[in-house]
Amino acid sequence: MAETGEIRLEALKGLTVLAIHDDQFRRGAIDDLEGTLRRYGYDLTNQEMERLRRAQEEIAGWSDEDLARDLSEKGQRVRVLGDEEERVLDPGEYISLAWH
Amino acid sequence: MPENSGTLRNDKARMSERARRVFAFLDELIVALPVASNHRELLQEHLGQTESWRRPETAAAQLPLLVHEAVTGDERPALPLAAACTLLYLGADLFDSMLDQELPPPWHARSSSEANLAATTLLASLPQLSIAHLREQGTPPAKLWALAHLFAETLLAMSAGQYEDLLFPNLENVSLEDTRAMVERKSGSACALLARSGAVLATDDPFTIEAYAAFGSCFGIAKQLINDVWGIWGEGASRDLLNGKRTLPMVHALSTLRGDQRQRLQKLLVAARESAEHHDEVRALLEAAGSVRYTALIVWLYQERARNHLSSASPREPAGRELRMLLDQASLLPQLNGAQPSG
Repeated sequence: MAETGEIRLEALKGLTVLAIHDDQFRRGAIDDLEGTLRRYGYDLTNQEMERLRRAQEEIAGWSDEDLARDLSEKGQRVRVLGDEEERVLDPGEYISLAWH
Repeated sequence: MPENSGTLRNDKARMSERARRVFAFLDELIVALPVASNHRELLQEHLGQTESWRRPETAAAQLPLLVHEAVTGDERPALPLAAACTLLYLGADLFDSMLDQELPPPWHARSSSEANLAATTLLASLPQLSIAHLREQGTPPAKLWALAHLFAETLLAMSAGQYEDLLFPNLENVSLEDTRAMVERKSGSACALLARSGAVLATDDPFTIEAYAAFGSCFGIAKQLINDVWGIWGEGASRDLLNGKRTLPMVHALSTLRGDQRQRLQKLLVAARESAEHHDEVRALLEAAGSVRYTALIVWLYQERARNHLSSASPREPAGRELRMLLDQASLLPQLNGAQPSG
């Protein structure tokens, strides 16, 4: 059972298939996910649509160049941590570095 | 998401301690092997001795323990299993580094035959010897056999995915589905093993086992797609471009660009295998095609699917929180770390 606000698994699987296989869906998904979903007849609940809308806004809010630059900077920071670094690093920063 | 800095601090300590215990177990396992000392040193090379537990790849050590704890409330019985998963990961990682011609510095002083031998032993022999330790704590033979079979099946799937990864650079038309399916076999199956094996040891309930396996598969696919973006933009000279890899961002750009831009990209991808001179121009064309944002969307879909599978397994806390935290990191979007779009 999905938790409140989560999108149903069948819908996520369907969206993945469309994003991989359907050229028209792919072209519309980033810039107008909601409109594209309507055209494809997706029947999502208000909560599911809200979660999708937030994700779409997050992705569309970045340019490819900015995302690539952020990744590149992150890539330069990820490394084997030394003893002292591991001890003093802020926990959030540590977990971010350790899991990448 | 973790709620406060105290919780985060506890999670950090638990992660460190968990990885230390797994690598201490591995050290004992290898020290006890009936082999000559120089052979033992060869096998220890890729563990990096005291530093490996701090490497980002320690997910292989964490996941089986976390899943076992999420099911039973206790991670300790899964220690030999986590060690076996870590060995499998290290062996696969060593083979991957050999195939991509990017062996880490400690291997530069050794021959490729030695690296090959170490990887084979890490993959084929040591995980089974580690699993055998579960017998000492009373794990039934049927479950030991199920775990051994699971490791064999996973290795076969990983091998199939790796073979496709090797073949794709020489194929004319690789589709997005070809690439997605390859990633699922190569990396999804490996991460599914980490989660599934912890669940198999913890319970006989097929629904719970399948939920954690699906969580692991989706998580592994998301992580691999992030690595694929890093493989292009994460370093000056891209190893993936030099190796002619057909990762999702590249295949997306080839599927999306039209006319002159597409032809230009095809030519550049050939030239990019010879030198890094054209790598920035390849990157610019991929960005023009929207391939980073497209990959971010696919990563998000797999992250959401993993979240869905995890909640369906109803994990106990605090292991559930740690698994969700781990999943939160599997994103290409900077907002998760507090950054904001510049435009």
